[in-house]
Amino acid sequence: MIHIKNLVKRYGELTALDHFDLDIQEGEIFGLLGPNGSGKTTAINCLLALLKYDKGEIIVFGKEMRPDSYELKRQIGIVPQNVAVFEQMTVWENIDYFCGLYVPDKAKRRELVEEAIRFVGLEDYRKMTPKKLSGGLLRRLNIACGIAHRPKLIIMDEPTVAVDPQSRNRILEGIVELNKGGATVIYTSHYMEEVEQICSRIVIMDHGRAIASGTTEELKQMIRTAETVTVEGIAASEEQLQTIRELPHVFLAELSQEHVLTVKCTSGRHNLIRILNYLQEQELAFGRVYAAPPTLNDVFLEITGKELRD
Amino acid sequence: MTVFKGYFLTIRRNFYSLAVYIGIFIGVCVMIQATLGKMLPQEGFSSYRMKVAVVDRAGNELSRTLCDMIGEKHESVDVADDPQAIQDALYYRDAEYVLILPEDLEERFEAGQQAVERVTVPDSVMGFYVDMQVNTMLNQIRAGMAGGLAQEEACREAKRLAALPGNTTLYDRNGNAGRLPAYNYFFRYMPYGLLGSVIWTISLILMEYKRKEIRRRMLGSAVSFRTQNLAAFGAFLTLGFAVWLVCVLFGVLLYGRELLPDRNFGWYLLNSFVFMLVALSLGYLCGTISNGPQALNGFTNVVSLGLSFLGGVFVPIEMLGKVEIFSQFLPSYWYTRVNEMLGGFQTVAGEQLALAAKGIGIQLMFAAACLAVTLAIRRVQVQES
Repeated sequence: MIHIKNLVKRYGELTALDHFDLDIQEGEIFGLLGPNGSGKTTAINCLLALLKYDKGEIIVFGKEMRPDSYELKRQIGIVPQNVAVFEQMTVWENIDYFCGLYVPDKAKRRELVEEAIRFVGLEDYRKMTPKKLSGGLLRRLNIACGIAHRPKLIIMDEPTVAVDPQSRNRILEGIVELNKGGATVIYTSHYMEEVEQICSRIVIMDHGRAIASGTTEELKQMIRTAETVTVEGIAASEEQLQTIRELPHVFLAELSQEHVLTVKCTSGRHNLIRILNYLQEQELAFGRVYAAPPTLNDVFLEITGKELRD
Repeated sequence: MTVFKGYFLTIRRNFYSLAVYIGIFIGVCVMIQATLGKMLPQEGFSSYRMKVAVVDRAGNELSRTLCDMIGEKHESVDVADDPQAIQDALYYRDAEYVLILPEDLEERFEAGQQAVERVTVPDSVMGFYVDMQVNTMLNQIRAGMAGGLAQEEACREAKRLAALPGNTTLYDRNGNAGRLPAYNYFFRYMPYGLLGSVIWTISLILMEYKRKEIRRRMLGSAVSFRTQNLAAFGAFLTLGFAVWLVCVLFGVLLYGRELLPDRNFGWYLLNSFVFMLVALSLGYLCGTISNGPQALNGFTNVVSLGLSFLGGVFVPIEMLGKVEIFSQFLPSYWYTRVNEMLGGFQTVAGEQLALAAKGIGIQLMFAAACLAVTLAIRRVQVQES
């Protein structure tokens, strides 16, 4: 459905997209994950032909995407990062206006607007202006304006920034529902939990490049960490730490100043039991202990050497 | 059509601020009209009567003749024969002109010297009017005496001649007895109404549309950039036309009987319509460079009041003094010049036609220049974002 090849975009000295490649299949919820400034929004702007790029190729629905590709744009919905609605129009008028940029027929548009209002749950706020809506409701309105014309491809650029947990869940559920309804979704975010929760495939971006791509599981399998064991409230010596590092499958053990021991293990069985046995042997007192599978942050950390949230 | 309708939806939301500016303009016009109606003479021509005091130190036939003439032609006021009292009377405008007839009036008169003395309000133009009447009187007496009449007879004859009404032929260039017609004042104040309402409304709309995310959403839509721009131009032109039409219709409502038969009515419409285009271009510029409603409020007031004052809308151009040199660069100045010309002449031909063409042409060029500058700024803004 979307094919981006070798895309380069420079802003003077800064290379925002550095030979960026992307392939998205129909029916996917595709996650673009990366820290702020990694090139996610630039990639989206190039995809929408809002930005001229220096090099590369963008194919959407089998055709080259150009600024005047209005037939292609007709099938795309945009939900921008910041709420983009008119302050002086009501909820209904805003959705109708943006839907009207794609659907000229008034009667058909009325149906679509009503459907979008129901979808985001703004039935009781039809006649209200955006000033009177809460942050969560505004985000829902922002989404309704982008999806009312029933696009085949929906681009959502960090739609849950600064949204309360309740509204965030509702938005995420809505995205899955849209996808089930047949829409392909490109979802950009720097919240890895969200991306993990809803995206069928993910590209991790850094410095304008796609540093890894695949399903969540595929990405996790790319790194050494298979399990992270955390032991709280422990006071181990350097000698004891060294012994832990030499246990089977363990490749990293660190003790923080807050007395939290983090042990990273490659895939293997009984890692947690082995560590606990050693602590018992050494008669070391400790608090809470838990083991967790790797996160996308671990993936990012191992590939780039820095935290995703930096 | 959606984009076009969207603009009008926003305009509808700002209807009250639009109405306030038009209301102020119409209110000012009605007020000024009411004031002017009381101030202006109703007849085409009437002789002016000044407050004149005569200090008669001579007390003879000649001085009495002059006193009688002044009494007939002006409002005679009493002032004591004291320099301080004379100064006070002039200062407080109890008298505008003090005629002093010296003791040796007759000797001076016979010797052909300056026979009378006078004290007037500084820089008084009307003083010359009295000077002329006194000199005419004295010359007639002198002429009579030269013709063989005794001084007493010559004075009587001069008084008789002075009492004869003069035939006044008024050079009526505008068919309005030399006065500017009332509707000319209406059109004179129109720039303020147009500037205030159009700049404020257009700027408010533009500020909504120029928000980065809105622009992104619009540019990413299925409506071409060209269509969006055309819709904006169409909406603004319609708005400007509607505001102009409301103002003109109100003028017709107030002054229809006099205004509609005026041969210059078409010129009034053209001049004000072109100025509406100036207001539109300025609105487009202000909306483009304003960053928020407060800045916009400032821009609107500075531009509408500034152009109105400096362009001679509120204050007659003659009173602008040296500022007029600067004002010539402003469209409101040329609007006012053309408007004054339209009020002063019944037909527009020759020099008047040249002035109308020049004035309207300059306004159009200003609007075009303003539009070009705004488009350049918008281009930079789009590139920056």
